[in-house]
Amino acid sequence: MKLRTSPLHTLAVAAALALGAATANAVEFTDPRGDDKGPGNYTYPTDGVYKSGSFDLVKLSAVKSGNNVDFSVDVAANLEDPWGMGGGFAVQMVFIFIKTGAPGGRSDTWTGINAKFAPGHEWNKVVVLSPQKKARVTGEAEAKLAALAKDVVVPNITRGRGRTISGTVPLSELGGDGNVDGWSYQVVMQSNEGFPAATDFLTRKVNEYEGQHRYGGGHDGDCDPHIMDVLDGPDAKQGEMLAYECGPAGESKKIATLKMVKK
Amino acid sequence: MKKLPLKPVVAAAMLAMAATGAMAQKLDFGGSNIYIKFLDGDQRRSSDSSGDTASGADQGQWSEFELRIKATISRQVEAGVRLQSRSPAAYWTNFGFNNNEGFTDSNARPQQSKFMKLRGAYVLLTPGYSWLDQALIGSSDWGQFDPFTVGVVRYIDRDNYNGLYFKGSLPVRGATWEVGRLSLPSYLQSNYGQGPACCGSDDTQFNEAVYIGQLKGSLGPVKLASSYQFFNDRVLADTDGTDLNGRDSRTFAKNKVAMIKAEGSVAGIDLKGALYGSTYKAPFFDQPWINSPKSDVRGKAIKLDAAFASLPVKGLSVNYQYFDIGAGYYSNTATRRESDVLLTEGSEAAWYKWGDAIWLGGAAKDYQQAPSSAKCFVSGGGRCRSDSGLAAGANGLVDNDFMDFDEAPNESVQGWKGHTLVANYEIAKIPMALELTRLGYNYNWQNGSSALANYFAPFNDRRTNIGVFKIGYVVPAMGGIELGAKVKRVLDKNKGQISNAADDRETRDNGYTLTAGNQLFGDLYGALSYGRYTRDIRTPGLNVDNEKSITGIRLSYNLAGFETGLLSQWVSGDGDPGETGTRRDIKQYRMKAFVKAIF
Repeated sequence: MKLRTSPLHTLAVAAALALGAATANAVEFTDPRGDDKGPGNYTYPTDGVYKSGSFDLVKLSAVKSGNNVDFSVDVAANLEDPWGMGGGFAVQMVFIFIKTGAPGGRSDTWTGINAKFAPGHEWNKVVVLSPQKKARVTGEAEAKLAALAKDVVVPNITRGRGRTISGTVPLSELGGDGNVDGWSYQVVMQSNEGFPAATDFLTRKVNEYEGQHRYGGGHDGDCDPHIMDVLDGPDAKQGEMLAYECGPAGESKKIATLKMVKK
Repeated sequence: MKKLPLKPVVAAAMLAMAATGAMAQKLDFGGSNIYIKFLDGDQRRSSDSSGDTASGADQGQWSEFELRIKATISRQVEAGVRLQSRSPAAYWTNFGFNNNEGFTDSNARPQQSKFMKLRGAYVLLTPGYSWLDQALIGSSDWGQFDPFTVGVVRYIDRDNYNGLYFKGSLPVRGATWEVGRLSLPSYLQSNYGQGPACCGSDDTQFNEAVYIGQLKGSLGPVKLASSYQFFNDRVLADTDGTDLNGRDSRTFAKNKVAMIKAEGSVAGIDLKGALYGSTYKAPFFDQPWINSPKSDVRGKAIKLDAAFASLPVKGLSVNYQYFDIGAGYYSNTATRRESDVLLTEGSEAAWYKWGDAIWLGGAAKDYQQAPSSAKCFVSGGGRCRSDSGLAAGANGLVDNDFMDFDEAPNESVQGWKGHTLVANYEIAKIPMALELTRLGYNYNWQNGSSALANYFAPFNDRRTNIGVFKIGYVVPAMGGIELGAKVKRVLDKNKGQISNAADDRETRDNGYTLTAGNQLFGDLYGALSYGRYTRDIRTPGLNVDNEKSITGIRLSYNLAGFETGLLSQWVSGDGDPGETGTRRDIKQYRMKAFVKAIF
């Protein structure tokens, strides 16, 4: 029997295939609202620029688009630019840790996050969504992250609109097989600190008591994770991942341990 | 003589103490920097007081150095100092000496020399008491409070407020209390600290302060905050003619402000509400130049916000704001600049200070709205031309001094009421934003308040509509070419005195801006922009059509610890900025560049 195909039918099939292809190269994770309290008791800085919900991760999406990957992170507050950064947001700083499928991986992070990744949950690239200029971010990474700096990927343009912070990076900088829906992810919500401590990668500190520009509820040393929110997953519960223990002199007795999340 | 083995013990003890001190103390110089600024322009003007556009300079080169020291003395004690060369008028060409080389002004000013100045010093205590989390003694920008009550002050010439700040926890989970005593600079006191009559001053002004208390907490899913502040402005009140029994003082002016605000989410809609009330009491002081109201006034301010972020249409979010800021709402410590307190982007910045030759291109950043009292920037014809509702020479507290053309100017929202709707929508990686604002004014009056005559014109019947549409797209080529377009229309009508058609005034601002930016290589970002703007003014006696285009180039180059930026603009057009009846060609070239090394 001869099959008769109308142009409309062909178009519909092509559209479905295209949609299927697009869906296969996109991934989206949601995170509960109201958990922007780090391990459970962290508080925002007291200055008025840190609006409620600003560090509350709501959604991560990664979409392969040609030879690029578009990353976007939604927060639970309208983005504002009180410091005149020029990109539509100012107070947030987002680290998207990825295991791209390429061999190898790291379990360590850096001072200013104060966390590691659990065995079997290593990362091999981290995409940084920062309101700072790309060159400032990469320069700080090279100056402070030593060997980790080569795995830091910064979009040429990072913008905040509405409640979404987004940036696009070339697939070639991420490596791996390009199947973003098969990769593993973890997101660390931090704050853009233009005047960071000498060892910190543009991140804001968590102290015992919140200050005008410092988070509170943690420890004055670097034994606590300086993280307000992470991506929750079935096997990755925020409270468990960010649990920590400090020694009497502020040394770490149990470091916060993150896990990757995968669809 | 028998030698006692005391010396080595003392030495050991001293060494131990020194070692303890050295171990406990950590010095951090992070954020210290050298800032070098370059201005160039075809107005070819300089300023004896400060090298910036607002001070009247469009050429020159200057250097400033800032040293920040933060000492963590112990777990409970931190101290910080900020030292900066106060040298905005120390041109490279006058060699940095204090002999005023190159200036016609024979009085050497400190800002013409490269003197260092203490800009801020604080001690921060975290003693660990259950009732006190922290105590701050000294300088702060006081951003812990609401911009309508006690707001950040970054007035570059006078730096930040100094005072006392205490914060602790309440016996309710997550609830806190805060108390502050801000030493109030004379220029923010009633009548510029001149007392109840022109033009005296007395020693009490050096101990004047605003006191504020603030509570924050949650009631279920609703976050609450409230504050109360007062300021008593005093003068000497000696009645017995002798100082031997001390000197009495009396209060002649009072400013009180109360605030309550709440926020929470209902059915995916984020809601916020804020209510402010203020009273100002002072004997009538009829001078046009004072910064405070002329006499007793009270007012309120209301803000209601609704954010719809979870709409059924993917990519669409809507924000709405209702605001009603009383003409008589007055807090002498409300934010003066660097704060955006309303949702709207406000007036068209390209026409900022239109009429002043050094500002022919206006300001290169959008307006910010500040809750401080209103100020007029260009007076003419008995009213403020740049804002038709204000009195000529209105001398409120909104601050646009010491700014360059690339910065955001500020406009007062005192007396504004209306609605703003902002819709954001993104489809196919094309983000769009639409803002619609409708403004009325609480100073729409006929022969209005004498207490506020130094801010607002006596006759107003004013309406303003603002419409803005923005669209962007990143072309996936050359690492991303960022395209942007903005169209803005502002229609401002003021019938002034209803019975007098001769003072009617209508201003129509229309304009569009196109931009294209690209990360040219790893360290350099560049952007080109072109904008075309018209301002048509209609009055019964004169119709004025102004138009101009602004072509700009912006470069930004960064390395670790180093940043430099440049903005050059070419302004071309014609119009009648002085509203003299004679049209003229308009041309201006202006450039600002800076270099900053942060260490």
